[in-house]
Amino acid sequence: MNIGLPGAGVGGLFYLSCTLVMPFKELFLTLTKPGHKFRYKLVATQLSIAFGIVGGLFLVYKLISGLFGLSFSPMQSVSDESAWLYSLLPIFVSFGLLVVILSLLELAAFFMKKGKRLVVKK
Amino acid sequence: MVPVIKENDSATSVAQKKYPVTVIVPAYNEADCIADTVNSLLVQSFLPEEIIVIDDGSTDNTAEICRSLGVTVLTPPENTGSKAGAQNYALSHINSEFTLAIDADTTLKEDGLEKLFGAMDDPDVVAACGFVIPQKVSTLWERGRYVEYLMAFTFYKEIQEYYEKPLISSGCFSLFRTEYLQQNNGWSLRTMAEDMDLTWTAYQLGKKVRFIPSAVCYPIEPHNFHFMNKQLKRWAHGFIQNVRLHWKGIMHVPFLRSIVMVMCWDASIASIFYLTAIPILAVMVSPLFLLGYIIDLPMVLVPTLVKAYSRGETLKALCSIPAFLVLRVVNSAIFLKALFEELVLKRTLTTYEKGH
Repeated sequence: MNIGLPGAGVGGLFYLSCTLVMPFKELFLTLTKPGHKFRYKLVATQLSIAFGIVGGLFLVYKLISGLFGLSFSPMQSVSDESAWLYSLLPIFVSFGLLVVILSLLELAAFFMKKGKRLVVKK
Repeated sequence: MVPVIKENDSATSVAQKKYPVTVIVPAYNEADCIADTVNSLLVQSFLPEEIIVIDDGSTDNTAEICRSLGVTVLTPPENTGSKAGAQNYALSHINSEFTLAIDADTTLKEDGLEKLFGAMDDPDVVAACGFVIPQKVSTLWERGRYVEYLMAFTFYKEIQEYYEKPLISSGCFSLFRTEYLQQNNGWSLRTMAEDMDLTWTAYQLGKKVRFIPSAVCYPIEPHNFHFMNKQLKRWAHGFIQNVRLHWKGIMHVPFLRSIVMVMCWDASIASIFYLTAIPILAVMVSPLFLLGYIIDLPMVLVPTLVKAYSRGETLKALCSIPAFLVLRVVNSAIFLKALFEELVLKRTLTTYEKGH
């Protein structure tokens, strides 16, 4: 069951980020949880998909800029290195938005938990 | 925990052993597909103790077909009005430890039940669901749904499972601990997405839900806009109703709150941008802004093709991608309409309409 816009938006970025965290979480579990086996196949599959998506987005960017002669840089005269950085701007903005949304959510969860404890104490 | 296995008097082989599972199949005018569903249950590698079809006031010969196949048919005194109502009617007849809920238009892979059963070794797991692949992939809407499922179940749902919080134990194919269902009075009628309600309730009670990708089911998806609209409308309203109902509770469930939050954001804010800002910019500034509709294509394409390739369906998936892009636009428009009706007009959807 999917609602709204599967694929687009910060949701996609959220799942990409979760995938990139997977190997580190898995390593942590393997080192700290007795009997836990590193799930190579699962992590490798999901990481491959994530890198495939990132690579695909890069290709789309190159294709669009090649086909339409677009520069995603707001400054046409910047050097090649700077232009590359500017081209990543939409990703940074989206990622920043995701961080803000999740931070506010965690903050709200923290205060709700705190509020619940205060009610219980009373 | 190893489930207790009952043997038939004459049975000795593993295939003939019956497992402590009752399958319940709510059905309303399903004569066209119910035989396939029941037959797929009868050839499972793990045979259930009992298969119960709830004939919810059908006007066709659904009940006769089921009786001829040798399964139990329950008939409520009058139409219960929803899938959840029919399932609840059957709940009091279940004595087995586990209950498999399956839609009347859904067939299972031969080891579907066996694979789900594995998840129940953990006593904290109260529900388990599997991978969903449309049975028929022909029309625009079926093709769109095919891509959507391949993408979502290969990428999103796998990650949700890894972080131990699948968003939903799908209503079309899920195995439950019967005790959990009975404690919660079955499937609640308070929202249009009773499966989501049940899943989120489980998390708030500290229970677990699992997604088992190797357990595969094949439902019949809406084949035209009329039925797709009904289904998407029900899902959109159901999601909003569940968020309203559970938001305080799920704020205490890490990861679940994050996936619900990003889903809310994408379904509302991103949908508004998608349906209004892009066309406006395309008209007012440059038609190149229309590229915004396909710029995230790799996000859809990569997981879809990974799964399609493993199933030998690469070409079918590639040909279905445009249908997904259409479905996505329709889905976001229906969600925004549902949001407006639920939150602004305070008009809550309460009537259950079948999606096919």
